[in-house]
Amino acid sequence: MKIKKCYIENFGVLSKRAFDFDSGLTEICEENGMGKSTLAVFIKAMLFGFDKNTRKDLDENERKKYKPWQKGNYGGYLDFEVKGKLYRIEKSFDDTEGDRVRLIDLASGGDTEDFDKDNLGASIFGIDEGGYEKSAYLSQRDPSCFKSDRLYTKLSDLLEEENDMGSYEDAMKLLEEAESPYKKRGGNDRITAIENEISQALSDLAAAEKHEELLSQAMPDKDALSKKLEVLEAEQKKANAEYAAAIEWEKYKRYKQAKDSYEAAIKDKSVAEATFNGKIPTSDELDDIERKLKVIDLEQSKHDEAKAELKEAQNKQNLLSAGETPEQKRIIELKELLFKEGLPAEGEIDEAIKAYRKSSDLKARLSEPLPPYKPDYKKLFLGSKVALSLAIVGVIVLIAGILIEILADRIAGKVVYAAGILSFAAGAYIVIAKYLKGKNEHSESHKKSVRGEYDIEEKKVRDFLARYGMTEKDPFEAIMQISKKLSEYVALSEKVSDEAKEAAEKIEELTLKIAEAENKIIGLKTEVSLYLRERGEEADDLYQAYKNLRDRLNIYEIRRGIEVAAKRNLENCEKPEREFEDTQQEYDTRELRQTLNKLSADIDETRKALIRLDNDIAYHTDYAAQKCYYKEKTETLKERLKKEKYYRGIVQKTKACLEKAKNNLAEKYIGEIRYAFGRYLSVVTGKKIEVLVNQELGYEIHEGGQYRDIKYFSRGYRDLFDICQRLALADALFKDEKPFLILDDPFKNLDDKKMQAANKLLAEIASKYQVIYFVCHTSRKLGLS
Amino acid sequence: MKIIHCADIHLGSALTAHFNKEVADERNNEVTLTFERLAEAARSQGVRAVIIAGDLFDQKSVKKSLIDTVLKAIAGAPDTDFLYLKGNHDKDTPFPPEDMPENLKVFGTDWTYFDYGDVTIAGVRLTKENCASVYGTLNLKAGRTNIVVMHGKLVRTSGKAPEDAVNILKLAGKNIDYLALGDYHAYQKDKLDGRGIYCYSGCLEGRGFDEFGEKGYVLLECKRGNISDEFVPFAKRSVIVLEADISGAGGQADIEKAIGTAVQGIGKENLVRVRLTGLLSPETHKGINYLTQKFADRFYYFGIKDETRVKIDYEACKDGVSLKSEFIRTVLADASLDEEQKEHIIAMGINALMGERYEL
Repeated sequence: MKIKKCYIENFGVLSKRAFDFDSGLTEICEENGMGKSTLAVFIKAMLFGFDKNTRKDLDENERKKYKPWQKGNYGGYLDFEVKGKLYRIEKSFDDTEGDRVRLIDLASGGDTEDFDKDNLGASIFGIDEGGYEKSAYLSQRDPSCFKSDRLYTKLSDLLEEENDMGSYEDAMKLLEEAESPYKKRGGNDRITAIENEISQALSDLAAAEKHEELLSQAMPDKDALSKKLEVLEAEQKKANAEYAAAIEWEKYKRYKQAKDSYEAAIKDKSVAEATFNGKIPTSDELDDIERKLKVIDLEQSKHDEAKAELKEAQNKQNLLSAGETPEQKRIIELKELLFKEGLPAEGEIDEAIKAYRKSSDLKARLSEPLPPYKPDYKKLFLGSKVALSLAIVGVIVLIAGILIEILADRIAGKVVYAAGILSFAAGAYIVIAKYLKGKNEHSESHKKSVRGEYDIEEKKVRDFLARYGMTEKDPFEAIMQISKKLSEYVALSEKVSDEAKEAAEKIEELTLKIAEAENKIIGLKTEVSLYLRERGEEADDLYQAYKNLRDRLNIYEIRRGIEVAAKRNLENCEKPEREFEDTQQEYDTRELRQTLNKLSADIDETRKALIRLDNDIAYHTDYAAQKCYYKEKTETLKERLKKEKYYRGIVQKTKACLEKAKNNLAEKYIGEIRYAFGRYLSVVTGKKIEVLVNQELGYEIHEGGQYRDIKYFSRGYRDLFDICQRLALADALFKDEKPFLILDDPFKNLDDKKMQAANKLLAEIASKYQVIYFVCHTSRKLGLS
Repeated sequence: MKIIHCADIHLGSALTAHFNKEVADERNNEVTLTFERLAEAARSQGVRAVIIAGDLFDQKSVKKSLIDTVLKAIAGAPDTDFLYLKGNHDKDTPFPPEDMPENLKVFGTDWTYFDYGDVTIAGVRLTKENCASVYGTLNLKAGRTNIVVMHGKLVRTSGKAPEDAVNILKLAGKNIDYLALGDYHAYQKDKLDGRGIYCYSGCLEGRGFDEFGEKGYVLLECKRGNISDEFVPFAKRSVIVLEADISGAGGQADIEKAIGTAVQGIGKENLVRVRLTGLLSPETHKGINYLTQKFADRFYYFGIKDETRVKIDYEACKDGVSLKSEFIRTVLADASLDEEQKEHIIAMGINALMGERYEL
């Protein structure tokens, strides 16, 4: 493609400006701000339009940036040639009315559809605006505007289409994410999970089929049981009918029996009733008679008892009168033995005892040691003046003697001393003799007193005993014996007296009692006898007669009871529905009952078995009913597995194809790029340059005997290398229709030497491309146009 | 006299091939309820007999509760006879039980005849043993109105037909006025011979998207020797399958619009599936899941089946200088892939380059 000319109506600072372009190199040298960059952007806008964005930053919103301040049409046209044919692209940018675009065939003057007028650049070159900017349009911005030094990345940037949101890496990442559910380890991947679900579903299906099989087996059993139940129920019905007949027969029998019994009971009762002469005794009446008979017996007993007692009392009275009682005899004996002289007076025995005790005490005192002699010491010592004087003198002389011995002469002292002792001793002797005398007198006096008393008391005791002839015995024993005998004598006398009195009273009482009893007995006997006779008992023995009557009444009561019971029994008896012949055969109801019970048990058992079987059938049915669900589930899962495997395959294949495409792309261009790049480098450096493209599509330049990363080189050289790269890319990419190159002052950073190299480069590329070279400083003019 | 002809009710189906468990269970219940409605309709309209031409149940094992429900429905219309023919699905189902209602009658493996006034209804269950001989033993009087009940696929052959097939060639000329058939789930009728017609009543309720269209029963009116038939739509819900050609759609919004147009006027109570067809650019984001969810509230059940094809501009990518073009060329050149695979891979790769996830 070659640009012929352009006309700018209004675009940025340019207004009503026309430009013609050479087919080779067109150099435009103007000052800054004159619109060189504006022209470059105009050309780009004619080919690719404006990037649709609403960013406020002017550098990012070219449409807004280059909108003319003055009024008028915002746009223009561009004439160009492609494959020998001339075209014009007219564009007018209008935010309100919308952009107007025309693509005109200049030969015919009419609109043409040879290219997409709204996307002319892509339509002609096959790359979008981005690709164009990165290859054919070298702006003032840093030439190395690629994302990295890597050729492939440059290629990717170049080759990314418009509106692509992601790159190869992003696309592969997305595909990895899509594949990741299928790559999980440990059986956690999606395929394995579905296979497990299928396995489970098959297992459940097998279980459902098993239940279906069991169900098939259960159904015939159910039929058999149902038939059995039918048969049993029929038998039961028959047995029930027979049993009912047996029950009816039993009923009839019972009723007839009860009726017969009742009639017999009535007859028996009538017979018993007739014996009472119309006066049927009551049980109460007979109880009363019995009571009366008992009373008679009791009274008779009392009577007899009283009579016996009376006789006894009379006998006793007689004895007492005769003095023949044992007690009376004993009284006489005692009198003879002891109390001939008369009985001891009241208190006499006590006196005797007292005297005895006293004499005993006195006798004991005689043999006791004397009480201690307690003299009056005051009288003893001070009562005898002689003794006292001797003692005192004796002490004084003694003391004097000691003093003389000590102070004067020993021998004299001793003499005096001895005299003192003698005096004292004499006094002491008198006192002692007085004491001894007193003691002796005390002892004699005591003994005499005691003896005297003893004799007196002793005499009293002897005199008492002598009255009753008891002197030879132990006095105390004798006294006790006398006392005892006296007590006996008195007691016996009292007793005899009481007995006599008692006997008389008793005789009187008993006589009265006997009379009363006799009267009572006679009265009762008369009453009872009359009662019994009226009711048919004539026996002399009233008790026997009563018993007979009681017996007859019992019989009558029994028979009456039997009659009542028989009547009740008859009333309670269910009246039979029908009569039976007397020749009716007996039913064995017991056997029938047993048969019925057995049938009932069998039926019950069979019903239970049926219920159990029904439950089993329901259980199996519920499970078996799930069969179609599991079957469908299995099918669905298999289908899903198939789809997942297919999807996984597609993802994997997509990844593989994308990677292959990337490699193909890189390989497709890498050789060409490397060759073109090397060639351009040679032009720039003036020598043959070896370039190495590594695996990551990074490049190294052979310099100084080895391949070196580009970072080793200076900034100026690197700028040049970038331009060479872009040119090499353009060479590789645009094979058919070469684009024009717009160089918008790309060499502003180069020194003079490198500028010369740039000149050479431009001359090289101008031979292949239409180059539009913008520059703002004459030092960078080429002078080659 | 009114007679109802229905068939293929398939009570107790799983239905999970098309729906999730919740919807499947609900639809199952609805099918049962429809049968109950049918029995009630028969009772209220004074229908003399209801012919069930096979497949009343979906499978051999059926829950007791379901059997009880069916028996109860039948017993609830004591003046209507239910003439039941077992089909291929329910031939082993233990139904009816011994204590079945009096108004439930069963066709056996020999011709079984039921007379109602001047109408005879005859039916037979085809088996391996009788499939050849059964046609020779059918005995219908010409002067009566004769209805025959059978279940199976339709064949026309003078030779031996499969044991589960109804050979209408051999039924022609047998004085049949109406051949009540079951097995095919869509209503269909045609001439049998010079006298009568055959008719598949179809099923009472569509159970999946392979059973779309109107469903119901056929009401027969027998009057003075003539028999007329009328299809009565009876399903609670219709299964509707629509096509939407979305060729050239720019994106999800366009597809949504196309679907909206397709489903316009469809009632809320129905089960709807939209088949998306046409050629789409691989870059087009279809958003099937989103659209399915968006339309789900408008119907009882809504689904989308994507049958679109990827449109590949082979010319454009032939010489295109881009990763995308190279990728497309790589895929197209791979002889190990079939066309469908190529389309999917290309669509997936291009969507991935655009940063989009592609779902089949």
